[in-house]
Amino acid sequence: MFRNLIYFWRMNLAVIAGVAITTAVVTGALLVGDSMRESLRRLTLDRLGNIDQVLLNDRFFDVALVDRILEQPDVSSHLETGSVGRSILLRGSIKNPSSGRRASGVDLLGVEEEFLQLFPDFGSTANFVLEKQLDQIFPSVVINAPLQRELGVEVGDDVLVSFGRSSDVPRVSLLGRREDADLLDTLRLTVAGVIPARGPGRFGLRPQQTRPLNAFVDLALLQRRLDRPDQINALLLPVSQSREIHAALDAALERVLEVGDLGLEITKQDSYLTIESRELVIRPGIASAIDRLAAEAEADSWPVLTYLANQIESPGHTLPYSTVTALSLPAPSSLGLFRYSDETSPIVLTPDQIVLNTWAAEDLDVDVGDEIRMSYFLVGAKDELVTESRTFQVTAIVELEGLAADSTLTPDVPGVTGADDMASWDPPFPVDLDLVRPQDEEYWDLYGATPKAFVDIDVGQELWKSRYGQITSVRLLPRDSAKLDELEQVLRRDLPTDLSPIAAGFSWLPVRQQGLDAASGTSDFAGLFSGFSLFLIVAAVLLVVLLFTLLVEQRGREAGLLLALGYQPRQLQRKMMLEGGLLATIGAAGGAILALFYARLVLRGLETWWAPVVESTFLEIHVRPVTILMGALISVVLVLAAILKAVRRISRVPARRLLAGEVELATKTSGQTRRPLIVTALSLALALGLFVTSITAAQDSSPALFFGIGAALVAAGIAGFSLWCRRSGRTETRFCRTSMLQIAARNSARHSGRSLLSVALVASASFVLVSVTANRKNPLAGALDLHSGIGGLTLVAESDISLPVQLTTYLEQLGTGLVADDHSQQSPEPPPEVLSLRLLRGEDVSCLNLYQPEKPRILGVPEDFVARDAFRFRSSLEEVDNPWTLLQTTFEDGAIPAVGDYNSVLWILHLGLGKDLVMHDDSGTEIHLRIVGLLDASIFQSELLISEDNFIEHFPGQAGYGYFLASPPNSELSSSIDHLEELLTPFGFDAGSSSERLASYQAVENMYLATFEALGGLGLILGTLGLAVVLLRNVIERQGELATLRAFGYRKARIASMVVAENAFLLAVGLLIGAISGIVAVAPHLITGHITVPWRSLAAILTTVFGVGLLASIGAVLTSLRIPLLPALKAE
Amino acid sequence: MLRGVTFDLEAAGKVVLTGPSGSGKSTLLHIIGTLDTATSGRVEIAGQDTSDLSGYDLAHFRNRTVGFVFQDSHLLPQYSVLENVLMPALAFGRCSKEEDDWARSLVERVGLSDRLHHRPAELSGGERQRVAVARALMTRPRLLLCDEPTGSLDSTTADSITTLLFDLHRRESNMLLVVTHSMDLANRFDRRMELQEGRCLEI
Repeated sequence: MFRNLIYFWRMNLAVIAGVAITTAVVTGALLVGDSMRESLRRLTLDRLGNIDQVLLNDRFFDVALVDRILEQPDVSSHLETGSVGRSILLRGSIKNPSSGRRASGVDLLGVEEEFLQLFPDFGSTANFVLEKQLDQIFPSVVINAPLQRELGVEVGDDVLVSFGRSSDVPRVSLLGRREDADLLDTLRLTVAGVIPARGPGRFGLRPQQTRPLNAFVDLALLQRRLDRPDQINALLLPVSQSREIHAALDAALERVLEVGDLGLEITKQDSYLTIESRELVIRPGIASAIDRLAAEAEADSWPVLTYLANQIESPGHTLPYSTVTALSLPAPSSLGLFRYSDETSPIVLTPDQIVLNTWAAEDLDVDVGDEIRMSYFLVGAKDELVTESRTFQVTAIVELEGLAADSTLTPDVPGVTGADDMASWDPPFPVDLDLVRPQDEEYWDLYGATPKAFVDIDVGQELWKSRYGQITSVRLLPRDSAKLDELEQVLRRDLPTDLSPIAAGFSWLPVRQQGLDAASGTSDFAGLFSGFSLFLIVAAVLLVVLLFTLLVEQRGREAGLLLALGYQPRQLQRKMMLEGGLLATIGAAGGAILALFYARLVLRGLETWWAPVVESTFLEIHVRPVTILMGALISVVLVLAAILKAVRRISRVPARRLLAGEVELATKTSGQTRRPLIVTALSLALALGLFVTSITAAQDSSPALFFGIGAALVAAGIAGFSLWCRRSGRTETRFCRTSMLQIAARNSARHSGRSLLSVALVASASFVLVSVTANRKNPLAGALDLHSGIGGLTLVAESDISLPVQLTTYLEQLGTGLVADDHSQQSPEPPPEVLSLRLLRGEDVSCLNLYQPEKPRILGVPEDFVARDAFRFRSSLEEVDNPWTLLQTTFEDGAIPAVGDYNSVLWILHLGLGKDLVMHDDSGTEIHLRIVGLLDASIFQSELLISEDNFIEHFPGQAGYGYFLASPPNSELSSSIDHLEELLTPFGFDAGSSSERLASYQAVENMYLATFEALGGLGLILGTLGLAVVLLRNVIERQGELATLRAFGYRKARIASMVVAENAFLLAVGLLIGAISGIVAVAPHLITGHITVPWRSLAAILTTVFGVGLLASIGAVLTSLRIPLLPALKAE
Repeated sequence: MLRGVTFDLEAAGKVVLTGPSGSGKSTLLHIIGTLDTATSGRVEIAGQDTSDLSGYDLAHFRNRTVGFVFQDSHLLPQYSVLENVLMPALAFGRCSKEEDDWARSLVERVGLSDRLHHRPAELSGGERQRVAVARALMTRPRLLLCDEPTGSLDSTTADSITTLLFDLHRRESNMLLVVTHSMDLANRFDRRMELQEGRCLEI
């Protein structure tokens, strides 16, 4: 066997090389997948240090709660070190006041010095100095290296750090403060240290490979600045056995949670309890829990909703700024007297009835039966305050005593209820204090915020309920007054446990586990690159088959001799398979080494190609022996399966034919002759079926359909060529009129198997090239079109801190526009559109994020956005004129309609039309986002979009607007971006060109296509190599024939041109099959307008490929020219 | 190898050249057929000194003046009998209707009119050699050179091929030069020459 290997060393070497290429490609793809996963995994471990679990709350919580949690034995026993991270995590922006350079999207972390102990591998702590040094005027901030680069600052420089202020009272409510000063804060800090972008310098809770911009400040400083002494919003825990500990942490939290941690306050009166919330409104979930527990404890609950009436009017009289309480009458006597002035019996209020206290009735000069009109603020759909009014009939007048004089019916509103007089009010809503009269001040002095009017609780809730709740307090009355203390104990004990921590805003985030799970990547990179390399693998395997077939054919006489000597065909097969196995093993071993280079090359390529848009410098090659073994095994199995076919074929040829130098079976059986016809017909039928499906099925042709059509057509083309080869020359033609190309075509049919393999190689590779080229997208094509990827909106922006109102409103308030010198008022052109969308911050679901996202960013789109009917939909759940209206669909099962970008939904979220993404809303309730529309190559690749109404309903905590789109003309785009970023720096406003954002997404997509193209190109090289080998072999085998032709007067040039023409023919057939298959496969996209084929570049590529392919015949041509005439004529 | 070989062959004449293996029979045949060149001396066919020819002229001369039949037929397996016969006519481009008709008549003359569209693999050894003979006559050459034309055939088939050669030679009135070491074949010629130690002796 070894002698054979050495004797036929050239061909054996070629087979080994083919196997090595196959192995390198297969194994390399697997290694790329491994490396990607392992790199992301290491990145996760690096950015989290020892941190395993994080307790988060949108609202702040007391450090005391942390102490109570840590005291729990099942928690403390799992703590890896004594250090925990008591932190405040905020989003903010930083400005370098010297240069004006800004950085938005900064993670501002208020931490203690021991934070570094969570990163034991970090090393030096010298630069991590949070305490203010003696020589510093301003407090310290430590920043990471990426932030330093972004700002261009050095240690000792001052920076302005802006961040959002939190508020217990929901911003988007009447009592929520929304002035910039209430929303934002800015600190001047001195850069005391710069740490590298690893460990704490890479710390972040979200799994994302991008380097975060981190700034660390002293926790105490931030607590002081936020007026949150001893409060934090994140607890970072280093615990072991994370999967087991998660349940223990939940249980521990439930055990130690107190009423105060829920933001509630219980006040005990003589005969009842009052429960109020720091939010000034009690959330529905909490209110329900209170009712339930009260009922179990045999107590009655009496809800109260107190609101502010801007005015109460009667004919000729106006009463300004009065509190009105909605309650349930008749009120329980234990709450206090509610005595009507005319001794009326207890009454039940109807919806349009109102009770005034004596002071108000007198002031308004009304009596029972008179009508009054009440006006009040409501929060509008755009979070703006709108004035509404309602007419009531005075049904009774109540004495200002007892319950009617109870000022605690009104919650304590900062800036209002504590004011000495009304003139010194500092309310969160607009007031005209000029309307306040002396008698109003007098009432204030005597009764404070005591309500002046009472309506039925149902009416009040109907009028004044907000997205956060519909009662301001609840009073609980035990039916047995002696059990008041017991009721209080029950509530303090059971209320926290009755509510899930999620409902109270708490959540344990198993960050390490989530990060490691997400490190599996958005895509199966091994599968992805195996897919990319598929045609290369196929080409390499075909090349091996080709080479091995040639090797076997070369040794046909030897095989014939062995058969003549009595060898059984099986013995012959075994002998050849053993040799093939040895070649495959040697090739696989070499290929395994090549795979390391191949994988390294791909990773470096990814780093280079991704560099402008995707952070990928962390990618490192990670080699697992089992992967190498698996890759080698796969390629050996593939190659042996291919070799077996060649061996079985030749072992069926009779010995006499083999001895005569013939390696083909004399005649084909009728079944063999019909086979190509059947394959052609079936493949064409399949392609046609898939094509029709692709066009008709929901306008959406998946990649599977695309490749299905392509593969079926390539198969049909190859089978058709096979059919032609078999029938070539059977039909009588005017041979005299035969052209050189026709002669070449006939020549190529001589060894149809070889020609078929060559054509298959070229066709497969050219299919890849054509389809990839046709799928390349130009992000700027039709950019200004309403139905382009940017929807005609040239500017896109986000703010770290949501604007309290729409951007247009905010700019109007500042007296400016999209650009500093806004002339839109005078311009005849319509003013640019500005759209403000609500943003739930989450994980990027675009291809820019290599981790697998779990909680995507969500945008709430307003009605004016829906009405624009902009952007281009690839498909939608229902066929409607404006697919955006599907966002307003009501599903019976309560699912929330959502729209996403096709690529993100399909490839990153692994969902599709009609599929649900399950997540939790603000209240901790599980919600299903159902995909009702898929956008085609849009700027919304990082998020899902739902209607604004659904957004507000499910994410009420996300007040304001954080995502903006606008359509300044291109000439003003740059100035608009600069203007807005400068103006809104404290909000962390980051604006940019929509086209550039779209281009960044498509750069990744195009990178994948480029990879596919490059690997397809490599496949084409292998195809060309195969073609060259076939031609060379053909020429060598036909030496005698060619010499005979020369004897009959054929010139060398004519024979050479016959060889070239044969190459050109095979090349042209392969290219045509591949190109037609590719174009037909993308035709459904062409018809639906999803792509525009760049015909010119396509033609250029095919021409180049043809030209380069012709070079493959050089060896064969040279050989044909060097044929020694006489020996060739003498020898067979 | 060849020294002082001189002989004339009249138009329509035929001669057989014999000699032991390695005596230079084939070499002489190839020199005459312009497939090889002599180190010295000259070959004149129909008044044309072949040593003056090269490139296109040589190829054209060979195509139009010389016909070859080799021991192995060297037929192109992917082409039919008729197409193989027509092959020399395509050396300088497409051929004419007359040439096509001529090819068909040649196939008929060699007795293969019922095999016109068969491929070489479907023919016997003798039939293949008949096709080779027809192909050699396609361009109506003045000189027909045969190198062991019956070397790989059994005696009966060889005899029939010889008869065919003589028959066609008579019809076409060309010069026939056959190289063989088969005495059976040689004995059927009137004129025989033998190569011995590089010299040509008329026997």
